[in-house]
Amino acid sequence: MIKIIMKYELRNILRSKWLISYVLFFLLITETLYWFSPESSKVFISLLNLILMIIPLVSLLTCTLHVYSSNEFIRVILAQPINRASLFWGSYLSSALALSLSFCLGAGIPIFFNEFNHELMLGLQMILSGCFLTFIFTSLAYLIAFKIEDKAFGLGIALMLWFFLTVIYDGLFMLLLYMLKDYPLEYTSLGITFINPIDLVRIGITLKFNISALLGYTGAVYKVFFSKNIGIILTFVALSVWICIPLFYAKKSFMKKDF
Amino acid sequence: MIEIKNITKEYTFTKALDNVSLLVEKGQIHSLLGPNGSGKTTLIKSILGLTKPNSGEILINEKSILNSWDYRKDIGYMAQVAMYPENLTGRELLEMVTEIRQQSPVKKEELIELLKFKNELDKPLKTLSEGNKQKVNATMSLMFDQAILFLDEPTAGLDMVTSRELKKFLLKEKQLGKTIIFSSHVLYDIEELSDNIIILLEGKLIFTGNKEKLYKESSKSELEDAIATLVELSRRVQND
Repeated sequence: MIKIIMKYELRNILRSKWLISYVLFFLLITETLYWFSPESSKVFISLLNLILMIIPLVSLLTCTLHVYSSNEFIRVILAQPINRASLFWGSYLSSALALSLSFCLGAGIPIFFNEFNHELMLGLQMILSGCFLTFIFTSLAYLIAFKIEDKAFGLGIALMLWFFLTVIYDGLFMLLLYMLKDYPLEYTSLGITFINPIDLVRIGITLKFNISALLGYTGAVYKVFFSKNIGIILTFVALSVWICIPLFYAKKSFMKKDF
Repeated sequence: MIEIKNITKEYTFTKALDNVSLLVEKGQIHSLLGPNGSGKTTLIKSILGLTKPNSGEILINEKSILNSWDYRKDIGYMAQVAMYPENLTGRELLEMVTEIRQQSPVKKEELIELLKFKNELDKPLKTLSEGNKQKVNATMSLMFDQAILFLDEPTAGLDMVTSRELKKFLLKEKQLGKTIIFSSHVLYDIEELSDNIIILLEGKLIFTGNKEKLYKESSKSELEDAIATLVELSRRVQND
């Protein structure tokens, strides 16, 4: 049943103009970055900053809006002999896959052609991180849309969440480090990084560019941690937890919701 | 047969259904009436499992529908608002519902012919007029051989000719033993189709019976007057 829902949901989403614009946006931006600088590290750093801002914002807003505008259709589908869980998974997976696929095409094609003999692995890591962020923020969007009835309020919360995780969180993090500068905070800051998926992706990718020295002793601790297997596994687990927890509560709300 | 036993549904600020008990007989057309916010849609949604009542029980063919979903294979539901994925075509939407239901759409061609929208089937739904969307909506809901049909304002947005054809179709379905429950504000449709009238007011069931019983209880001879009088009388009783 999930497959049937996904088949038609994907058809609907993949035909939408905004998704085509999303592909073109990443295609143009990535190719333009390569045009200006053939150096992989510079392109990746610029692209990373863009990914960390754009993917959470687009995933949150488009998916929240998508769920709100699908309410009538959800009602009609739920009036069919189908269990709610199948509809939930079909809808979530279609939204997350459509956005991930668009990002993979948009950023992936220029990366593949420009990095074929250079930093292809790093490029793949960037793409994978972008897909993780898409799945995370799609699940947060589903949680918001199914928990909050009021569309304007729900969109406001989505925007606030994006602003908090991309801007305010870093400010608070910096403030904490500054206030407690006399204490050894290397491991505490490593822990705090895991609380924000955007920071986690940022640190994980940035450390591949040999710039950890700029971060002092903390950078050295980060570098050691993220290059070990346990660091990579923990990062993967943390990002997966960021997908699963909001999704668990989103599904719970969906199963109980009055449509 | 649908049996509704002491259903109560409360939302944050309102009591949409207040201890409603009702017996919906098989093989009849029942019209569900009441002023805006009287609980008509909540009642339909409760039977469809879209809304979970706070208390009470709903039985379809003597089986409780609580925490069940496969009973819906015997139910067709035509929603009031036809808002569907805008980039799909009408044909794809019909195919999607067919795949979900895993039933044969035995009346699909008949309905497409009857509602005259064959040429619109391969256009994206976002390009269709409201009337044509409603035709897709009607076909999607009625094309399977379901024993129970729920229609929420079925003729809203349809032109007179199509509306007439749809009503003829519903009368034909009744002859085949189908149970049809529809909510409407169009008195002409109610008068023409209903075997039984159900009136809700502020979440309470205030009347159920045929037109003759309605005229007798309200001491009026016109349907509009009879409904209005009964609603007014019940309102006074509730306020007292």
